[in-house]
Amino acid sequence: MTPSLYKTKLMACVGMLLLSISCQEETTVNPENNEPTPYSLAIPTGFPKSYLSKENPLTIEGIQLGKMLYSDPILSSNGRSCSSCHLKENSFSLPIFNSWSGTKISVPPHVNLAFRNKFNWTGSEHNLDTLAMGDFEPEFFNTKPDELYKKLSEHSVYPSLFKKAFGINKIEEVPYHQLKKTIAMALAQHIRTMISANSKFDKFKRRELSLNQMEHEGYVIFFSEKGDCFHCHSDPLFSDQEFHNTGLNISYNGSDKGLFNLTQRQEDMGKFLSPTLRNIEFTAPYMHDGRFSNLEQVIDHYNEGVSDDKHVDPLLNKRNGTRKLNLTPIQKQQLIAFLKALSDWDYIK
Amino acid sequence: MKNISTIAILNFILISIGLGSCKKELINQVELPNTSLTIEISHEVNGILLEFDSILYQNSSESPYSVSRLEYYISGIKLYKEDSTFLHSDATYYINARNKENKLLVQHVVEGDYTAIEFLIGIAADKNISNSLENTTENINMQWPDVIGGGYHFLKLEGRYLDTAGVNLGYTMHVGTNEMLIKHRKLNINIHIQKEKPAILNCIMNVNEWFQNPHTYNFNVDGNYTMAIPALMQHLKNNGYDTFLIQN
Ligand code: HEC
Ligand code: HEC
Repeated sequence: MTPSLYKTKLMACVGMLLLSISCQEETTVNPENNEPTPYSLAIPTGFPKSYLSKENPLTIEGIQLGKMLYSDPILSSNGRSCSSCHLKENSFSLPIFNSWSGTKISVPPHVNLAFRNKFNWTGSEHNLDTLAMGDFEPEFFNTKPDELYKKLSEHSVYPSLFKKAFGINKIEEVPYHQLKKTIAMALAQHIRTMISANSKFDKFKRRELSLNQMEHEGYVIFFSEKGDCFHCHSDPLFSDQEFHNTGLNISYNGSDKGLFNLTQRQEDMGKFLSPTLRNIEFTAPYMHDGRFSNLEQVIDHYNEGVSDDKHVDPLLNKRNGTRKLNLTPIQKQQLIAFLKALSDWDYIK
Repeated sequence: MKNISTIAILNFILISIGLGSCKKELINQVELPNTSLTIEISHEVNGILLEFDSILYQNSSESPYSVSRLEYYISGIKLYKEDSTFLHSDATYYINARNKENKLLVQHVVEGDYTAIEFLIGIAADKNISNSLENTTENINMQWPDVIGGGYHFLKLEGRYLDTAGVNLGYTMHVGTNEMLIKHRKLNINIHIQKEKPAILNCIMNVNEWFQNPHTYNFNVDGNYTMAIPALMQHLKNNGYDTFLIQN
């Protein structure tokens, strides 16, 4: 057999295999039976509409499946689960993840993601429904498909949840790609229910309590030209969901290039998606690479450390013509007191 | 509808539905005409289509500058007929010059010939109240915080410029608070509204007008930051009186 003929035959075989897989898929996915129970998300006052997906509507069963899988090492071959890097006590984040390529990443928290349509520090993901599919790769879960099929189908609860939530009769008959997608969808459903809106500041806005003087002064600094934080960290998500260069660098290497690495456009140099400041107290260290170990350092940065680089966001140019805030030590403390009033202690209980 | 008979308001209310407008308006008139006007907004600098993020432009004070953000509200649209009677729209439209297109749909416009248009850049006091607009991400990001008065930014114009020494700096021209509401001058139009015949009005903002006429705005002298500086916002308000023109 000539190599090219061999190749054609191989392709034909692969094609047939794919065909047979997709046929099987149709026999196992049967949404007509046992419709799952629709779930409607309670949206806190003042929040924007959630980005719910038509393809993956919230259901009680889907959320339950996602919630169980989130903290179950069953998905990995290395003992990891989502909650290994998204720890509850850190508002479902992790101080630092060292990637195989040597990049340090401060793992972003899972807070109010139902209201966002861009994910990761550079907004590299747009679809929460498929985001977790990447986690099966060697760098994260190093999932062994055979083991996964075996463990899931022999499990006491999962088969019935897969059936109820997604109409899957036999897990072992679902093609691997489809299985990963279904798992990612269940996880997305669970993550969309992770809503935090019960911080001291939320209670203050609902007139259930007042802020103490330090917090209140900090609140004024945050939302006025004094600190001018609100343009990018806008209430209620405390993120405008846009990209900005916050003047961390004067020149850019590797991951510090931020959005530029995706778009190759000069104007995107050093830009990152504004992170939420909700639960910021629980998610040290700070910035995409965790370069600041505490909030004091973050405030010092905005106050006097913003670089002179030409890519820095116009919003960091201040009234006095410089990129300095001129906060006094006490004002810095007030700002931090306010940031801590964004902690939702119920959320991490 | 209360009868404000002295003013020559036509005998109906005009309801408009647009981006971020309030769909919950009371429809308190029996017959709403099935006719509409689309206002297509585009953004130029002295006749050339605005291109974001490149220092291409010169304003009247000869600062080379670029635009990285241009967002604002249009509201209070009034369409005049020849006899000076007018239609008043209740809708508030959010405009982001980065959008591929900005089309404002003014619905239920009574048939006839219209000869002039007036509008506000910003939001009139009765609606310039925090959370009065739908909580879209855009409206949320346009909020003017309660601690500095509440409501919404009327205008956010941001970008970069080269100072006298050629240093690349940022500018943020923000306008907000009721006193700074920008009433745009009346523009002549020539629009015939007729059933089943969509009418389109092309409206162009010349970004340079924010920096001239009457006040020649100079980043190096006036400053590159207007928030909470009424004197500077007042310049923008005055300059904003004639930023738009109609293209027939
Ligand atoms: C080994 C650590 C690790 C594991 C395990 C892990 N993640 Fe993550 N996760 C990260 C890192 C690092 C990022 C940030 C990546 C970036 O910004 O480029 C992230 C980002 C995310 C985001 C985006 C958050 C945001 O605010 O933009 C979501 C959602 C997410 N992970 C969900 C999951 C789910 C679901 C699982 C389980 C299937 C999981 N992660 C497992 C490290 C991990
Ligand atoms: C121009 C937009 C902008 C302004 C103004 C701004 N921020 Fe940020 N902030 C960001 C972005 C973008 C990041 C992420 C930067 C990075 O990681 O490189 C960030 C990060 C942070 C972080 C760390 C978040 C984390 O999860 O690591 C804190 C805390 C913070 N900002 C607080 C503030 C405070 C307080 C102010 C006002 C003094 C402020 N910011 C003003 C855009 C802004």
